Amino acid sequence: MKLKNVIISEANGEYVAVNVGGEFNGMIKMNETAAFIAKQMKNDISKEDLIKILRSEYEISEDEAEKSIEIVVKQLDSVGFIEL
Amino acid sequence: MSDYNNASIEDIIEKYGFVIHKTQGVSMLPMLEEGRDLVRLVKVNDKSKLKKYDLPLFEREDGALILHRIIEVRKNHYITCGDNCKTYEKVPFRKVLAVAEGYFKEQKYISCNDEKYINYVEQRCKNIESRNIYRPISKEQRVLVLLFSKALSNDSGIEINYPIDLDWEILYKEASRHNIAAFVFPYINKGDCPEKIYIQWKEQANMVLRKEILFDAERQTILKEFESNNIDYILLKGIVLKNFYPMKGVRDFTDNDILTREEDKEKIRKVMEQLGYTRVYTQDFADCPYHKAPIFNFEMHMRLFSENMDLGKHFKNIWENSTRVDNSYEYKMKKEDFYFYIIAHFNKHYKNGGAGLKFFADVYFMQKALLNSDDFDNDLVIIKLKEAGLLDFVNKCNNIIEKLLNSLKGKDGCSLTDFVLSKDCDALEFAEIYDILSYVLYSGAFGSREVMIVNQLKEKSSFELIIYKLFPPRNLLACKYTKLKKYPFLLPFYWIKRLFATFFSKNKRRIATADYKMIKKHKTDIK
Repeated sequence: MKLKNVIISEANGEYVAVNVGGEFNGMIKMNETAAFIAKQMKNDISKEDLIKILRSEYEISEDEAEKSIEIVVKQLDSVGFIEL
Repeated sequence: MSDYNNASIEDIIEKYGFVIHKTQGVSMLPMLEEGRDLVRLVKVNDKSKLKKYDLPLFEREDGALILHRIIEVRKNHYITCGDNCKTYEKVPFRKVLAVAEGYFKEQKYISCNDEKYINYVEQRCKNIESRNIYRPISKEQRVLVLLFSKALSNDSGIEINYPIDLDWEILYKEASRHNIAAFVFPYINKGDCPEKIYIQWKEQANMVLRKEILFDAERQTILKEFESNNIDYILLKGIVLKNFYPMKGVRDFTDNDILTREEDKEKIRKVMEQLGYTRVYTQDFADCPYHKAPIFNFEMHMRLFSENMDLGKHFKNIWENSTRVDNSYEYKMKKEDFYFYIIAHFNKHYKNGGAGLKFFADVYFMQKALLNSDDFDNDLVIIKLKEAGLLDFVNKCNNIIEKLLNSLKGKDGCSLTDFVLSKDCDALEFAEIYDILSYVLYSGAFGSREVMIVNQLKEKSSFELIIYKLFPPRNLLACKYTKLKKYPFLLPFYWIKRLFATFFSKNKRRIATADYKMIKKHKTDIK
């Protein structure tokens, strides 16, 4: 899984992801955890590795980590931020 | 004046000694605002004995009732002129019906004998030919000023009592025209605004934030290239000012302005082209704007102000006076220089085509950040501003900012009647604030060509202005045709070249025609 050319930036207490180029002209607002997950995807990463990294940062179960990743990936994919 | 005919007005005054009446139209701005202010009229005992600057109510030949000021007293008639007009009118003594004794500004009564009122009249009538002609401030503009004041004071607790007939679409358009849609958006309650406009406004605010994030990232890429190519640079205007604002993504800006050295022009061109930018044509050789789709505009300046401008000399040694940041190629202006530059830049826009509300926010947040810092030399700035003739301008700006902030202080609810203009001002102060606010509100974010022509007509007659536009002076043309700097005798050649270019370009022809129409529209009409 890898993000396209997307910038993740902190703004006024929340995180936003915007794409450089591409068709989507909006942005996604996200919380800190979601931004953390998205940032790990700047380079190609497997779901398993991402779960490990997320669990090393936050004290959560494997199930919770997987669910969180799925939600973020789904959201990013819905606006075309993820490379196929 | 409405509702009464001449007979009834005179009858009422005869019976009660006075009449209080609303006014119509814009001809007595800034003193009387339509639908808001009331005038107190009294009987005139001897119609031939009114004085200069009295305000009679008279009847025109067509029966219309007019309240205009006496500018001159002649043998059998008065010469009158509205405070917001430049056209004189003859009024025979017998046509006078009553005279104003005072007026109500909101709930405040101002007598025509009030000292500040007399000062206002004297100032307003000092030079009728070159006085500013005002457009009325609409209710949407008043609400925008309130929202702007809320955003300035960062106080979302104050409720605005929006007028029932407020057109939110116009309000949104006005906010966009002033580039402050994103700045004021956080202070709009969802429930107050029609859903469709609210969504549109929110999208606009998000777009400004998105734009800032993209600009920041893109600028980093460009400056990295500058660093590896040994290109010196100073960040200017919005790129710096945005950091003084309390929130990210609220200061809308379209260009990234960067000061660079003239000798690096070619190196910059190569860097920018490598990054996919194209050079945009500009009349001024000292500004090199570059554009890349979809939104990236980077303007590389070779100087802060044109050498033709007096201000140019104040910033002649800007590189020597700036400090290199660590071991990079970035230079930073002294705080005092930056402050002085922003004020001078604001003033340049203000004087030419006008400037919008955003500039006041820039000045306010910049002052908040810089003036309170320990190492800011306030005395030095005052000397510089004084030398450049800008001190009065800064004081006026700060007066407006203070009024805007105070207009909301200690209020449980904020309605139109709490609008800054109604705040315990005397007539003179009111006129001064109205003068600036109506100009700013009409100008929009970066002013307009029409405002520029109106301003130019204050210094030149319409004929002189047309000649000036057809045959501009050498120093102005030399910005575009650089050979003129070295060979001044080529001026007539470039005049003809320029006229041909205008004739054969559809766009230039359109601009020239529009200019001509505006000159005709705004030329001083003295009868």
